[in-house]
Parts: sequence; C-alpha cells; structure tokens
Amino acid sequence: MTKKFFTSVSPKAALGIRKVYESEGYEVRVKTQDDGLLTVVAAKRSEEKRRVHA
Amino acid sequence: MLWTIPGPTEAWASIIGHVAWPSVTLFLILRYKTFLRRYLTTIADRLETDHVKFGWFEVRAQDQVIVLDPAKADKSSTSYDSDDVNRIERMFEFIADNGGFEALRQWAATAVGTGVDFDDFLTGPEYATQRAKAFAEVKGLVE
Repeated sequence: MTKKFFTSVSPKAALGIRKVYESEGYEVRVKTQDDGLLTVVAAKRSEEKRRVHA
Repeated sequence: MLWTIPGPTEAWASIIGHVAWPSVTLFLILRYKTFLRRYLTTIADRLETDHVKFGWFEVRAQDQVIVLDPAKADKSSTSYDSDDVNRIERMFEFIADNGGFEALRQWAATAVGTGVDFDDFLTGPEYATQRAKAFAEVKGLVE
C-alpha cells in the first residue's frame, strides 16, 4: 500500500489533489485538522501477485 | 487368557470419551486437510491485501508526507523551500479550477517530458526548478 499525506491543505487545493490522484487510480480521503485546514491522504494498493488457486 | 468386553459402566464411558476426541480431531484434520489449507491460505491472503485494520490517517515510516504550510516546510518527509511549498499548493488549487488540470498537464508533458509522472512533477523535490518555470509560463497560475 502506497500512501501520500498532504497536511495543512486549503479546501481548494484538496480538490486539486483529489483530481490528480483519483485520475492516477488512488483512493483519496480528507480530514479536517484542528486549525480548520485539511489533511488529505492518497492511497493506492501496491501491485501484488495474488496466489491463484487451481 | 480370555478377554471380555467390560460392561457399559460410567468409568469406561469416561475413558473412551477421553481417548476418542484426539483421534476424532486427528481424523477430521487429515480428512479435510486440503480444504483447511485452502481456507487458511485464503484468510492469510485477505489479511495481506484487504483493508484489515487499515488506519487511513495513520502515518507509517515509508509514507511520504508533504506539509503545505510554508512556515512548516521542513516538517515534510523530503525538504522543500517555503516558496516551493506555496507553488505546490497553488498548483493544486489551479488544478481544481476548470481547465487548470489539462493546461498544467499539457505544459508538464512538453516541458518536463511524458516519462515523468504528473504527480511526481507536482510534488517531487527534484522538480522544484520546473515548478518555478511553470509559474513563469502557464497562464493563470500566478494569482
């Protein structure tokens, strides 16, 4: 799992982060910080070989 | 010597009960070995790949953290100068506007090259110079 954190993000920049990372296949979550700014997390499952059962 | 089967007393029932359960368990394990192995492998796979106890906002050592506050530019996992932090945040705001995403992506494809991931261009410390260049060249990026 690859995760990228952006903290102290303005609401408008959070929209931009969402646009960029969702277009690259990431899942994006946003949380409000105590100071009113936002924390944005973009996460993507690493490419893994899954075991295949015959 | 003549062996006789003892009568069904309570003591015998208890002895058989104690001896029987391990053999029955062993039999069941051997009988359903393949099924059990497949079941355990599936559980192990899912623990590995599903979002089990996955804390979205839990920072791990290998995660990249970018603090978009110029005053705390040194708190990011890789170093940025405060002007660059302002540029990164402004670029994401620009992308949120209509047409901003495409304009910036096209500029990056031409100026930085298509071999570089767009998000690397936006956040990689090694692309600070290119980001400054984008501010000089992309219309509307400077507020």
